[in-house]
Amino acid sequence: MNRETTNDKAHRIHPLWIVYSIGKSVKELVFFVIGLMIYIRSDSDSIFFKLGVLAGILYLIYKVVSVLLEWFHFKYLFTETELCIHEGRLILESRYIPLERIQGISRNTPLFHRLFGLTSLLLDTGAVGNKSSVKLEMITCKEAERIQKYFSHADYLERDVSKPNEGTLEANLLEHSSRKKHYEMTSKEIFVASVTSLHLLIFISLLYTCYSNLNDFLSIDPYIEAVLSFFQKSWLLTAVGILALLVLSMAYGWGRTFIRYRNFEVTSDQQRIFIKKGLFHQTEFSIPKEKVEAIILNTKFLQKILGIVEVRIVSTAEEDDEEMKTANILFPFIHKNKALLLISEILPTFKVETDMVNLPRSAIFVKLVRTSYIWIAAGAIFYFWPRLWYVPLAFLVLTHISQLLSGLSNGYKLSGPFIQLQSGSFSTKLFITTRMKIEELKVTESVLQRKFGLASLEIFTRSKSVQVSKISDIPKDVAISCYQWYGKNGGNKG
Amino acid sequence: MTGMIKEPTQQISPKAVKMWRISDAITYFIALCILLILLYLQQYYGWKSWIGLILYALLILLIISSIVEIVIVPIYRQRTWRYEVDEKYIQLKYGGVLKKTHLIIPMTKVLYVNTNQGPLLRKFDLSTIKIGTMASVHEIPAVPEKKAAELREKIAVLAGISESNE
Repeated sequence: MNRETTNDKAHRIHPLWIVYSIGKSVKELVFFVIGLMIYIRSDSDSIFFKLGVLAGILYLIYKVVSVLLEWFHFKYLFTETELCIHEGRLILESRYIPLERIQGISRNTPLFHRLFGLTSLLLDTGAVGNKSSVKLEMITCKEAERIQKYFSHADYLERDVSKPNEGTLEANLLEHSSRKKHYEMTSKEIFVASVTSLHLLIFISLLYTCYSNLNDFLSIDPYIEAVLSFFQKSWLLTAVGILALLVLSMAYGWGRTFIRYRNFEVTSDQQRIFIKKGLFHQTEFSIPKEKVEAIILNTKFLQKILGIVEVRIVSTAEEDDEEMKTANILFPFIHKNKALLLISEILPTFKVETDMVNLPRSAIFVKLVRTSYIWIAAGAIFYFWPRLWYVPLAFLVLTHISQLLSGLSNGYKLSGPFIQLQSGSFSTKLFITTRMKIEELKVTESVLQRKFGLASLEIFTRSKSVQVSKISDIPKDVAISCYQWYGKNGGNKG
Repeated sequence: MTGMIKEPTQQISPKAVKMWRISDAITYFIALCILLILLYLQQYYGWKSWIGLILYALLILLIISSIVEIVIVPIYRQRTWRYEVDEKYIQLKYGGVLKKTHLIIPMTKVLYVNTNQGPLLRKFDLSTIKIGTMASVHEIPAVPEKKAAELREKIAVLAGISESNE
């Protein structure tokens, strides 16, 4: 198709986008106006007030014009090979993106969009820089589905172009497009997760922001003091108060998790993984399986006891976007055994071994020695501020426990094309990747490590920002064999 | 050396020692001047005496570290730097006593390569090779100019990229 002609056939996004965008800027403006009102509460005749109002009006006019122009000029069209985007306000530009470059597709449906049967798509090109993704905001759900199908189909064609088997094409296509559901989050899992992930601190900070915001408008200090003094009357009441706070924070955590992860679902077909979630604000993210660079299993301290892990996919898909931040989470909280089973089901090219090799005893010793400088700092505090004796003590105990834990729990495994590193102390991280996906590999050895025949290993893999996985104090010969394993016959393909 | 990763064979230019010494000497001279000016100002305007103490302490530290950095470190760094470029990999090795680092980069993961030359390097007919990957930029310091250019071409060809020159 001739590029020049694409402009006529291209689609615009839904006109409601204009209303939505102007609404968003009005919302920003409202905050600004409230701030201004508080600032000059007394005299509304002051020159600042007039200037502020003028600035607000000018800003609104600018926004309306720019939104209108933006909507008018934004057009997109899918051709056989490319995605064409025409955009701009005064300066127009056109982008042509080869379809095979597009990796992650995420579908985002905020509540407002859902009311009108609209949705938005974010297509990630995996490129570095600020124009690495294309956002099609406010398109109809039908259109979004058409585009998603289009990509599944493109994947299919790309893969099977070598063996055109006419007879079974339809059957293949059917089989191909049939998605298999792997995982659906249960209410029980949401409950356990919200209890074990510490929402108390977030809750308290939330309470505090509420309080300080309210305090600007109303005087609520007397009430707060009354409540506080009530709970301070006796030990029993204090305990009840603390318990109430805990229960409330858990309820808050539960609500938050529920809204975010309700309807969480992982499906996959032959090429892609699809992750869907959200109660009000729904998102659907999909990524080709071959673009998965590595898998990370994170475990928080409390969740370790229950054997719950968080599974992440490392890929080059967008992470800067606020809405997309959690998109790379394959399973937010899942029992480890179940996770291992599902990973092998969804990503057959990855294999997670459960029998890791632990660090040698000497590693624990080295880890403890390494933190010895903390003793100096602690000693100084003991000497100069004896009244604060508990601070360095707690700090010392914590660092030593964490070093001990990391010495005991860390491990590694090298099997076939896979490498597996477990690091961390209170919360741990298990990193799995294949040799083909490693960008570079680094082995370092410090004086202390040399004395005990140990070394550190660092692996760099691709992601939006580079993913560095490091394990310290593995035996030196293991580090050497990792180096040779990587250097032997890998790196033939990109 | 027991049970080691096979050392890369190529060394960087011995002229690097002198070059580093000069560049370090210049840096330390500037730092010294700044400290002396501050010290003079302290005396002249009668700043608080603890400022003077800190400045003297810094001065002593500066002198000690300048002796180490100018006399010992360049020799040590030049002796321990090794690199190797073959068809599939670039291997770098640096450091020794305090911290030894081995790095391996497959040719296919190299994004760009270029050679750099500051005024001091030019005086010694040396170049720095910069190898860019997804992860970071790696430098091979102080390679003879002609060899650096050859190496740049070689890496560019092997990595399948058109060279970028700075």
